[in-house]
Amino acid sequence: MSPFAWETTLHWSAVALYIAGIVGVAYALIFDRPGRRAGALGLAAAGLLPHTAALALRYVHVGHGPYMMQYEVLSSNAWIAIVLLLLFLWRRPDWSPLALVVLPVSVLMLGFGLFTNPEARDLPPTLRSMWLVFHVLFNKLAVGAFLLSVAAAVILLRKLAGASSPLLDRMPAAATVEIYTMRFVGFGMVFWTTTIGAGAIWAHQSWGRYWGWDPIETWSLVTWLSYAILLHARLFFRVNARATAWGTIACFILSILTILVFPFVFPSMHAAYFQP
Amino acid sequence: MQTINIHSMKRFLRSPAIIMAEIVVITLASVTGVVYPQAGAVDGEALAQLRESLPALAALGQDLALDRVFRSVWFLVAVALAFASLLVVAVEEVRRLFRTRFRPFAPAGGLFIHVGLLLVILAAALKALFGAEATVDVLEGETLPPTSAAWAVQKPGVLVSPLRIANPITLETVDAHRYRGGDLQSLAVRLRLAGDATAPRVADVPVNGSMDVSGVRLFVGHDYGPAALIEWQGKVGEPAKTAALLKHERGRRFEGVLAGPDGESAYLRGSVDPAGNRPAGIEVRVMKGAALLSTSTVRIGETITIPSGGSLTLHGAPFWVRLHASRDPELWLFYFGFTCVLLGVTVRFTLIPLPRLAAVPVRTLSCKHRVDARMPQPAMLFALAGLLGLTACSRPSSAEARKLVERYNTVVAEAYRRGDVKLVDGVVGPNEGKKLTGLIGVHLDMGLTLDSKMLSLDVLDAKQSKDHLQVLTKERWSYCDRRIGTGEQVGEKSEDAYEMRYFFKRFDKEWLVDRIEFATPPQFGREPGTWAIAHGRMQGHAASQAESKEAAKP
Repeated sequence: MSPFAWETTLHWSAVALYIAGIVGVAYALIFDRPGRRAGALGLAAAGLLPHTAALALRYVHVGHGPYMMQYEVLSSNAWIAIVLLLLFLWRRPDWSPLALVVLPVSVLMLGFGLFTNPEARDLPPTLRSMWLVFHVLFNKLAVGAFLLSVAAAVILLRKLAGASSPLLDRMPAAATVEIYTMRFVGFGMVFWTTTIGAGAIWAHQSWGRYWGWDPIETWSLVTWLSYAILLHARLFFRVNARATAWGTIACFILSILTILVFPFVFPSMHAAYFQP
Repeated sequence: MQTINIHSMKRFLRSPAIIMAEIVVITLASVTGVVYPQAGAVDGEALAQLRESLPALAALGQDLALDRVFRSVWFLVAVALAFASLLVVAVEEVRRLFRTRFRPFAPAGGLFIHVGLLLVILAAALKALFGAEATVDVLEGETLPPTSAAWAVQKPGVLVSPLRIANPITLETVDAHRYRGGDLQSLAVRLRLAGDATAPRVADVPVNGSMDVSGVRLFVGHDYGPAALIEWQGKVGEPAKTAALLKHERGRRFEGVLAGPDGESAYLRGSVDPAGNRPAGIEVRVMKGAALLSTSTVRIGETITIPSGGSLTLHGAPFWVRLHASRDPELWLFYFGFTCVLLGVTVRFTLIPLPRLAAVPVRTLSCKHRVDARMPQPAMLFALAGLLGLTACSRPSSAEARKLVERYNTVVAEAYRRGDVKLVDGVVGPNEGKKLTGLIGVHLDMGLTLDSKMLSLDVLDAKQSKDHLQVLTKERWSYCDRRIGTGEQVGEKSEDAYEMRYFFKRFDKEWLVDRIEFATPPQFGREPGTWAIAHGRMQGHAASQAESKEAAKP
């Protein structure tokens, strides 16, 4: 089998295990079988093995990290989101309903990536920088944290709507869920800020300026400012939990557009590095 | 009285409504900066297109400075106001920090964020006032004199003079390596600095690296290529010696154009070898207006004679590279400010229990704010997100379809005119490329080139389905054939009209023409000449397209 065939097989094996994990978690929570929950999350964790192997194989095959093709970027984003989810659930098992949002979104990302052009691209010399590694790594961590914040926001909205089920009742109260939503947003902000900073240093190294209002740079700032608006609105105006949840979802959509859509839409110095 | 004014000013600057308004205005300005075409942006044509297609919006944009939003007065006022608010809030937070006994982290997080942002804005202002940037294209072996005039492009700050290096700098070598597929793998230059004991005498500077000379940073991007050192002797007068810089076209190929005497110009092409070494020879096409005078590959040291009377000698093909210099007195302030922001965000969002974050000194909030202030409705947020989504998912409009058709026709017409089929690589797919290779080759075999001009173009219809785009057009063209060497017209001039259907296909991420066909039979403006009868439907550009259509049939 060619390396690409191995990669594809491993990726699809991971998808199968993640889907099995989703079904398992849904069964455990909806039918109130807490004993099955650990097994279901174990399936999702098992999915990380072929997923990690596929990413490692890709690295060996193309000789660089997941920076250039949508295929690589989406797969690695999904990997980070699932790792963050499982780490959090390991410490807070009661929050397993988060998996019902994070896992499907990650599987969608992974699946979409598998249908994009997987052609290997050579790394241009401007991308040979340690700052690129930080820039990309923290960006992926930010996506993972923001995805967790959205999952918490969705659960918060359900709780505020008065929905009741064994699944929701096991979760902490709405006020706690709201605090955790903001906590995930906060973690995302830390990672997103680091992404912008590492990008600025790298831009100074490669292009001679740390900030140039390039469209993708500007969208990343808009995303950062949008989260700042959300946080300040909550702080100053004590907006209610429902508005906080909707604001979190809107900001997440913006962050995803910034990472996955805008680089392909707006003519930008960054566009040369992103390949669909 | 003055104290009262200062107090009311401070209250105004730290009021939540003003702070929120500042963030929202800066956010909206940033969105405008990416959605509305900006002067001097990467896609420079977008603004011209907007002026052409929506003049009223373009005029309004110009009045509101939307086309240069980040340099507009209203944006700078918003940033200045934000700076003032940050300053007032930071001072307030310092006071609160000293009043707090057991929770030093809580106010410290916000303080670091706000002080950091202040420093970042201050660094940007310092850069605008005291920073400087300069760029120049340098040949291997060339020495830059220690003057500001040595640099082709200068961007000095408002309060400083143009940038200059105190000592002469020589570009000794350019070392470039390419991947097997042709993409650039690495690029490094060796710079020699004369007569400075403090700086390194010789330094290898790769992409992402730099050489520091008395506070000025020298570095290279990825702009480089071979230069053709050409001596061009016209029919009369002294020969002109010029270095024509060839720029990267695709793969290992570089191209450039050189204006010569008597209204002639030379189109130049050189390819580096797989290891990235300099080209041994340069492909040269000499043209006068639309007439192709000569085409040949010239090796270093060779001279070619141009049929019109002159001659052209290639003396060498060294590499050139774009050298950048920048003086950034604010850089460490920016990094320090950014570190503060990062530290503050980390403290604020990871080390402090979140319920405490909601605590805002009550005296900074008016009662009205607490009761009436509302976040935008979720529906509005979703509408915004939806709008952004729509922007992201737009399909090619009629204007975009027209742009694609125009691009194809401009390139193909130029390829026929220069007898150079390699020009079409970026606009056609493999099928159409093969056909054009044959058709242009037939012309060259006959000693002819085709000089065509589009007189009118109307897009009648455009349909898209995923990776396929079909565009129906109505076109009018003027054609004439010219003899290679003299440029004299062969046969009659012709004006033809037809409807054409273009089948674009997305290859990688580019729309390329896969095939074309007539939608209605062409109306030729001339009778077929002797040569045309001998070669069937070889009836200019339109007939070439007809050839393509015939060839496309199963």
